[in-house]
Amino acid sequence: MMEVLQYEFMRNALLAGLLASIACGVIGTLVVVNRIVFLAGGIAHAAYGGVGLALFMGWPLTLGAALFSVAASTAMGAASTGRKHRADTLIGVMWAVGFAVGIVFTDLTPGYNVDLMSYLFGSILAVPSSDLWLMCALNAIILAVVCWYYKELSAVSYDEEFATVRGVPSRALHYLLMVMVALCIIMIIRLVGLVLVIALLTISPYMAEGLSKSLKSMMAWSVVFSAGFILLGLWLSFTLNLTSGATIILVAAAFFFLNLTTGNLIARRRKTVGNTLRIF
Amino acid sequence: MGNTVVEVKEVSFSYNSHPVLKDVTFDIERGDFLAIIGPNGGGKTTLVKLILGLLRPDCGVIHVLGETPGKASHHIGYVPQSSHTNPGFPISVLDVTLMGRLGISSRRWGYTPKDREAAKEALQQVGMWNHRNRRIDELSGGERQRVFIARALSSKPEILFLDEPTTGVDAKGQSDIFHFLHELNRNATIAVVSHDVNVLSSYVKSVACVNQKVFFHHESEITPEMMRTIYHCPVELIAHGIPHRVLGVHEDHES
Repeated sequence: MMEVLQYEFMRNALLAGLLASIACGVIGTLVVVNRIVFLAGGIAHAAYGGVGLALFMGWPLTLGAALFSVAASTAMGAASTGRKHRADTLIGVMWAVGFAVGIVFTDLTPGYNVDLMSYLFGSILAVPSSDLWLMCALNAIILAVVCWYYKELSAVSYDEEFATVRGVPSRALHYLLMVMVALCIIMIIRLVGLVLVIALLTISPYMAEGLSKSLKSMMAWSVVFSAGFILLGLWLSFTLNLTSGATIILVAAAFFFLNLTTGNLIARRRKTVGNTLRIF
Repeated sequence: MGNTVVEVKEVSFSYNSHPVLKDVTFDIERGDFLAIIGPNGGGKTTLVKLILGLLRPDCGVIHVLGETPGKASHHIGYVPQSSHTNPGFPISVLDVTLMGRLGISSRRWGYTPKDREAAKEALQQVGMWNHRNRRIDELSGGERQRVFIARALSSKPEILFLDEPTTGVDAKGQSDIFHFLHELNRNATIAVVSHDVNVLSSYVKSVACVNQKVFFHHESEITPEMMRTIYHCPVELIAHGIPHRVLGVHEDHES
């Protein structure tokens, strides 16, 4: 195991994985408790439009994806606050359009682009050192913002109406959350690809939710779970020679179903015990 | 301003051009214990949200303690319908109560000892201090409602609004809540929304019947006449804690 760390690409992959788990755990927690998983999926797929556009214009791909998904997230934020009952439809439309725009721009760009595949399925083993610095910066921004607005984010997520009465700017925070989700997705796209982004944003926070008594402990547990899944997935993909992104997700999924079934078993046993007690 | 804490003047409000409240005018006096009753969809919750500044009226003026609703929100305690909270959200009883200190606390991260003291006091008042470290979703409906009351009290409000505080609470819990509100009424003005007329008891000092219009009564007596105006049919009434069965023949059946 240790000898693989001789390779720079492997060291970079591990670091990238750990950096991504921080963002995934923190932002994924907010995504899961606010029930905006579908919206996060929409942002991830709309980001592909940005990749295509950047490719066509000759811009750096990460920049294109970042601009596009921040714009998409703001639009989706508006859709989900303005016309709540139609939000899922509007998000679905943006999801599809963003993706289609990406494909058409790729068609219009001459030559075959191998790099594009890395945005669809991830390429954690090809993360350059410069990207690590970018990830550090994004992590710092996300952590700073979440710390600064922690009380408000927690209050709005739990009971938006009450928070608003107490003077919390809930709509502004909603948009802020959208932009942070977009930034976080840009970071994970490099690792597992946009197809599999959702799993990483949801599985760890879901498992953490049951263990936690506060949003911050849920975030901390999610970071730990995400880091575990990424490291284990990377190791398996290296030893079994499988695609890293897909392997990471399957590792996470295995733990998810294990958690689900054992959780159900415990709940059922508790229920049975409860019923028995009630009978006597 | 004198003794008026809430002033509602010629207020109308509609959702998507569907009128909910029409030309509503009434005042709430300091020290009042107001019951806001009326049929479902009659506009009770909308009225409260207008006073809290969560909604803006189409026309008309609302003043709370002489200020616009948004500015006065620091003096208002609010207990929303419990169904509005996020189920499964990981938060402890103490942290929910501390939420009431938002906008008051001088600290960005965490809370000051003063905030914690206020939260402790509020939880002790409702008898939930011993449960402070439990997750809020582990509590029973009645216990959770008491925590929501504590959360509203932690800001030391002058006016307390409660929206259907007895939903999902058993009979014993309901009378506990009303007894407790009666105690609180010594220092604070209280307004309780309910679709359940039976909730009215000897604690209530005045009644606002809401069904598009607001009929304000400065006594807790509810007459069948009032009920007929707002419900358009005779209703079973219990007032002053003494059951007055007023079961009339439904008018629709007669004609």
